[in-house]
Amino acid sequence: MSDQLRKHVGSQRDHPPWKDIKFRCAFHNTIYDVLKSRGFRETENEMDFDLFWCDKEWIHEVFDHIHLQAHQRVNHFRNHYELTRKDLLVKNIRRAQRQALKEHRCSPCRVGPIPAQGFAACSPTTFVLPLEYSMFVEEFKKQQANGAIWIMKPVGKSQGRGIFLFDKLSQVSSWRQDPKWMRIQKEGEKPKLRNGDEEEEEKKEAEPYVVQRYLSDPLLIGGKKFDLRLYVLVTSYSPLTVYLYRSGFARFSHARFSMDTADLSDAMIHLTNVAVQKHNDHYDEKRGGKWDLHSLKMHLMMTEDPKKVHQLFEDMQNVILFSLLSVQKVMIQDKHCFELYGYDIMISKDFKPWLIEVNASPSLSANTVTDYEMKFALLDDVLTVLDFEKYLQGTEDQIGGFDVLYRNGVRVGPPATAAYRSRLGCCNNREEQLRRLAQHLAGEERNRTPPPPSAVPGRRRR
Amino acid sequence: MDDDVKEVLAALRREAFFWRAKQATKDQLLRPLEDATSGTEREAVERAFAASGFRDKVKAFAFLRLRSMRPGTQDSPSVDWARRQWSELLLQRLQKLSQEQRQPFLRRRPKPLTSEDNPGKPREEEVSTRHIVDLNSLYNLITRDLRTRLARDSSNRPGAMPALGSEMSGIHLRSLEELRLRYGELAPGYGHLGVWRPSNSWAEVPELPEARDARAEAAKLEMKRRRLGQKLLVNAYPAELQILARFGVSPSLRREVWGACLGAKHGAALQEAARGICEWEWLTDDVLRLDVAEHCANDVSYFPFDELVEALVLALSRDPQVSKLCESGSPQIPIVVGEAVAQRGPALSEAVVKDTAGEGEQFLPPSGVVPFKGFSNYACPFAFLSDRLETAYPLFRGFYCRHLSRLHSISGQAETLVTLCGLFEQLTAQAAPRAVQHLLALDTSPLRYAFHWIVTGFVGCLPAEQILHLWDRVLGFDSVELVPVLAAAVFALRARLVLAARRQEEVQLLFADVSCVKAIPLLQAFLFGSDLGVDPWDLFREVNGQIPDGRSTVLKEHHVGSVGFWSRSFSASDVVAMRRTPTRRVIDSRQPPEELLSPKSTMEVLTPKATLDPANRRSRLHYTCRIEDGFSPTNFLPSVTTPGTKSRALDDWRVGEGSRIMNYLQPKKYRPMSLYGEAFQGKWNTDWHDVSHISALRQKYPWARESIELKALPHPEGPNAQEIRRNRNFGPSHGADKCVRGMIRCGSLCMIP
Repeated sequence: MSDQLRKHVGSQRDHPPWKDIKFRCAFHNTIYDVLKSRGFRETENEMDFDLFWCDKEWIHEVFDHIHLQAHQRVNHFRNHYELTRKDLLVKNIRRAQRQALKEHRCSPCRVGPIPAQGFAACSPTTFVLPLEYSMFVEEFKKQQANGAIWIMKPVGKSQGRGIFLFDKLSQVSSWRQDPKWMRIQKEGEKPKLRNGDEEEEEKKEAEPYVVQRYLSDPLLIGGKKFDLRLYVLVTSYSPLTVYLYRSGFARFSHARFSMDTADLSDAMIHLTNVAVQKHNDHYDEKRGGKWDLHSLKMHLMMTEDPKKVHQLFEDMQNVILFSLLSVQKVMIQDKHCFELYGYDIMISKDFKPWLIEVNASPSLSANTVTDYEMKFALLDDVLTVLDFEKYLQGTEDQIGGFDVLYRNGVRVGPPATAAYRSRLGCCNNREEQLRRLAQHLAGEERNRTPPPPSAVPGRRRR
Repeated sequence: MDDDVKEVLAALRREAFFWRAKQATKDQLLRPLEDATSGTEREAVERAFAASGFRDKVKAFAFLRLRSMRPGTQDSPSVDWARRQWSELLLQRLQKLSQEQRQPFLRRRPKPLTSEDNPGKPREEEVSTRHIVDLNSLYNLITRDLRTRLARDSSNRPGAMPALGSEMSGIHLRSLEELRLRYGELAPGYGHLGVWRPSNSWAEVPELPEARDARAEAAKLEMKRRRLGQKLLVNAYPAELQILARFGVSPSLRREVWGACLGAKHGAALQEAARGICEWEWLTDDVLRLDVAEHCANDVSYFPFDELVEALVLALSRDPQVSKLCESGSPQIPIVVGEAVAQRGPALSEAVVKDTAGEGEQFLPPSGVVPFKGFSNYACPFAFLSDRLETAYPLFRGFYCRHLSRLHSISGQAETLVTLCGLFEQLTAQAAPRAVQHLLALDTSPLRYAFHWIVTGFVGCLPAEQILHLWDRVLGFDSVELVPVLAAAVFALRARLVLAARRQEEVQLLFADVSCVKAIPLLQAFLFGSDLGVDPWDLFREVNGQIPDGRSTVLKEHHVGSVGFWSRSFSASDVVAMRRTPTRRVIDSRQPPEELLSPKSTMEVLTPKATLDPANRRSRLHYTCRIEDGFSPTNFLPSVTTPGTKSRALDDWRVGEGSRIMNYLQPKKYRPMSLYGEAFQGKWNTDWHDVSHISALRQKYPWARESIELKALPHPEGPNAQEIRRNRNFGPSHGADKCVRGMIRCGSLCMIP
């Protein structure tokens, strides 16, 4: 909660600053609670808001046709899909990789800020299927010798829908040659779609798939596969300003991991999405299969070499930065926009992070109490960072649980001698940090405005 | 002492490495060296022994051996009785369960598990079973039954309930002062891991000046400790490592340090225990699985490890070494059953409770420990500690046998369940006597709420990190006493809240969730807080960064004398009762009276007509004099020359208040009420103003009007009849909706006066 800021800084002002802030919210989950609890007022007016927490559709449909005032903020960028759609992300990363290589070649003496291999390690080998089918087949045949397994994901869908694994080319080529069959299987409950041929044609265009090399040796904990959900806040793309949230969680698949061919179709083993796992009979409502990132780090520190673990967390942070830098040029900068991304990252056995995907609207509804508390804290800190109440000075390195990675296009990091370079997964000391920050800011404010004469006891006595 | 040395030597002779060490020493001695001439023969042998490289190993062996030869104490008859009673109860329950399940104690698994079975799928068959016994019956046995028996035995003091522990088995329980000496290394002056969490700051190389704050210190400390630990691990001498563990072990070394302290060897133990785990099935197996599913798989910290924990407890229950290795003796008298009998049908009467198994007989289960509900908690931190069964199991078995088994064994030995409970009761009585009395008046006792903390060693109550920090110290000080001490500290931490509780359920609620407790700072505050002349809980809060603003500096100035913060605790019903006073006075305002009335204070008022916006109209009034300082009833002359400090007549209103006897009989009754706004009564003519601008504003800001009129009523129960009558014109004249024909609007209701 931002109580501390409110208590220390807000109370010195004549008018409580949060009273006048108006918001609209398209969701009725944690974010709504957070906005309410900060004392913002909900407004029904279409245009008269300070903050609109909208869904992606609104951005696509409405945002281009309106004019926003300087103080108004919206929680998506206009073309966020450059980062969040699987195929475009691949395209952007590849381009940035080429770019970096070229720059590197042009000026060999200069060590570029981002080495090209960083981009290469970002994400597993990926192809956009209808377009790059031939390239994919080539790569597939090359990799077939070492028993590679591939994963197919529909570009536009989320929550594990339409994903499947395969290890034979026939499984995909049949899918590609006969899209009708696939569609019947996938949307068998809608037979009317099969009537019109044009409609089908349209469908075929609208259903691009991404095929990725499947990570067949993930890091296992307790014999189970997991992936990480991290939260990243971007308040501006040019100049780039990035905040990384310390906490996050690991989502576990319910069943013991195995790479047997017979299990390839078993979603319980291979997919860690909560949306998939909750259909399991053994799914437990209470814990939700989510493990705190701090627990994960602690466990790894105890079982593995601490240096390796620190390196892993630093690498994860770098992967996030690489992906953001690669889309920085393409993104349409708008000072009204900010975005909270949910990064999905997997870790392989050799302690290498792999970027799986980026979500522009990470799920904000919680399924357990701890989950709710974590998301509530996260969103509260998002609002603190956005600073509607005008508390902050803009030079803070940590605000609540958010650590600055990039500010005004400059990398903000630890000193060169630090033993570890990322605070990701550290214990989230946001409450204490906010308290200190608030006290500091209150002191600054007090220094700016001298106290009224009567408050100085010596003067009154005269 | 000589006997001990002889015994250690005899044990050494049975080890192969001893002879190798001897051989190596001989070789060293025979080798011609330059400096071999200096010193006596004995010194030369010593040097050769050191050079042979076996010294550390022999030292570690001798240390562990000596440790295991500590003398035990004699059981007292009443504790003996309880021990037997407990085992009888377990046997009875086991037989009943066996009949219910139609399953013999031991049977060949109907479909043996093999590695070809698909490991990816969870086991499909659903087994319905239940726990053999839960902690409640253990609690009842220890407190109720054992106490009544003791009271009966010691007839010389009729009526007095004997305390647990000292009076039963004649074991001396340490008082708080003795504990302070014993656990002196826990004092806050030493650098402890687990007090500041080191991950909060960049751990910088120490020379850098920026890293000055306490967290950076902690990070440096962690690095220093890790280096020290690595150095000590080369020799792996348990005594040194234990001292290291007293100050906390760096997480990356924890597995090795614990392993070396416990003398846990890899391999053999697990193989023996896991033998037949696939073919044979004990009656307790399903019970353990159920226990794991309920405790480990539901715990936020441990749920990824449920399979590993299951393997750990199953292996432990089949390990025949356990009852021999337990240092305080087997946790209960084992249940012995003939091997042939065990596999026969469900009805069995042949099982008996006795100490040793004869020929062709077996303990049930082989470890001799019948699991109670929550038993699997013990294994959880070890799964967290290392992800692999073969490294986790030796640690688990070693730690269980040395420390954890004490937490649930009823015996007359020192540091077993009865004495630990006794220690807890003694400490709570010493640290929070009023809270204990209060609980006794509520017909319950502190132990009822702390019992499962003690028995499970806080697993499942505290987060994993805290457990590991606590167990570091348990290992380091080689004593589980710290568990009841921490339990007492948690109790004392909430003692004030306990005083406010009116019913048992409220107390239960207080202690239901203790997961926010930081184990080591709390222990420090409990043991050493009053020594430092600080209120221990402030120390705790400060260490945790929980102290409210401003207090921390005050605390530092206040290092003289123990400052107790005294306050009466109000329950919710008290507060409700306080709000229902019929008459109000000016001093019963929302702002505290000091602030309102002292000459230093300022007061915010709305100036009427300067601007229309209320935000701008708020201005601050500073009080000045009405009566001069020099004024007194006996001195009529106004002091012209020295104006002096000015104060108001009401400044000393407390004097008048204090003379009222009511204030000594019951607490002061202040209710929140704002002076400007809807609730002010308007006693004088000057309080009445032209309010057209207000009504204009209310038209402009309808939301504010809503909040004024409906939400901010000072009294939730609404005004009383007298007030309604007196104020019937207030609302309309201040711009509220007109009520027709003398109707009074009261909240959302309209009333006829």
